[in-house]
Amino acid sequence: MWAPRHPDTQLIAYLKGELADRDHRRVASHVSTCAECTRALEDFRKILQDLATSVPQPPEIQWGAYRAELRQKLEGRRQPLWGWQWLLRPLPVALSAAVAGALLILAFPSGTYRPPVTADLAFLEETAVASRLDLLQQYSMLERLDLWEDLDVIQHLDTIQPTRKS
Amino acid sequence: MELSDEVLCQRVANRDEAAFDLLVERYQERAYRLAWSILRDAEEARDLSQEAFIRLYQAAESFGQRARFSTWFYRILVNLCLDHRRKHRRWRGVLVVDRSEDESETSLIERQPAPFQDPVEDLGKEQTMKVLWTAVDQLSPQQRAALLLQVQEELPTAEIANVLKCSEATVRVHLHRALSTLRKLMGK
Repeated sequence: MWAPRHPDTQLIAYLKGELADRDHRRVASHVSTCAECTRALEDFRKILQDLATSVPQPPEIQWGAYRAELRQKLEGRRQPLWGWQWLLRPLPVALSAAVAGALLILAFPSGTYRPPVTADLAFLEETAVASRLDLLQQYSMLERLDLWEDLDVIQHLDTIQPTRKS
Repeated sequence: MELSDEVLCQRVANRDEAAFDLLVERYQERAYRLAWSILRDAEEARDLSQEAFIRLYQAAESFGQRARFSTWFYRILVNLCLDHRRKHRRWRGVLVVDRSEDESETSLIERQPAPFQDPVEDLGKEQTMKVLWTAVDQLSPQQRAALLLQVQEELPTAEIANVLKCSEATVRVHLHRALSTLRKLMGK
C-alpha cells in the first residue's frame, strides 16, 4: 500500500511561515490528512513556545566593567603597525639590526664558539662506536687495551712499562 | 537619526573608536547571552563574547555587507563558541539553574511574568522547563546552536544557515532532529 511521505523537515519552516506558497499549501494539505504529522506539529509548536518563554538568563554582569575589560584586551592586541608595513619603516629596521648585531657579538665574543656537548651528542657518538665494534675488535692492540682496562691495569701503564718484555 | 549596524561597522573598519563602542553597547548583552546559552559558563561566555568583539574590530574591513551585520557578527561569535566547545569538550551534566554561578537562587518561573498562576501548577511547569532545557543541553552542538538561534534570537532559517555556514536544508534537518529529540525526551 502506498504511504504518503511525511514532510518532516518542512514542518518547522511551515510553523514559522517560511515556506513558499506552493510548499506551504502542500504541507497544509498533508497535515490536514495525517494524524501523525498533526501531532508532531502540535508538539513542536508547544516545545518551541515553552523554550521561547523560559529562556534561562545568564548571571548578570556589570557592563561598564565588561567594556573596560574589552577595551583593555583590545589595546593589548593592537599593534602600532601591522605586518609588512612595519618593514617599511627605516628606523625600526635599523634599530632591530643594531640589536641583533649586538646580540651576535655578545653571543660569540671570541669567535671560537663551540657548541656544548650535550647528552644527545654523547649518545650519538657511543652509537657510532658501537656500530663499528666488530671492526675495532680485529685489532690485537685494541684487544689488549680492552684487557688492560678490564684488569684495571691501564691506569698503571707508566709503572708497569719498565717491567714489560717487548 | 540612529546609524545602522552596517554603517557603524564600516566606520569601525576606518578605526572609528566611537562606532566600535556603540556596536559593543548594542550587542554586548545579546552576545554574552548567546555565548552563555551555548557554553553554560559565565566566565567563558564573557571571555568569548569579548573575543568576538575583538575579532569584529580586527576584521571589520572584511564585512562586505552581503549579509546583515547581526548575521555576520553572530557567525563570528557562534563559531568561536563551537570551536571552544569542541576543544574543551566537557559533556558534563549542565543544569539550567547552575547554583555555582550565583543566580541568586531565582528559578525559571520566578523570572517569567506569570503572577496569577497556581503555585502548584507553577512548580510542575518549572520542573518541566528544567527537564526541557537539560535536554537542550544534551543536543549536538550544531542542533543546539540552530535551536538557540531560532528560539532565543528568533532568526529566520536563512540567517541561521548563514551564521552556521550551512544550507537552509541543513538547518531544517538540525531543527527537526533537535525538536524530535526533545519531543521524545519529554515523552510526547
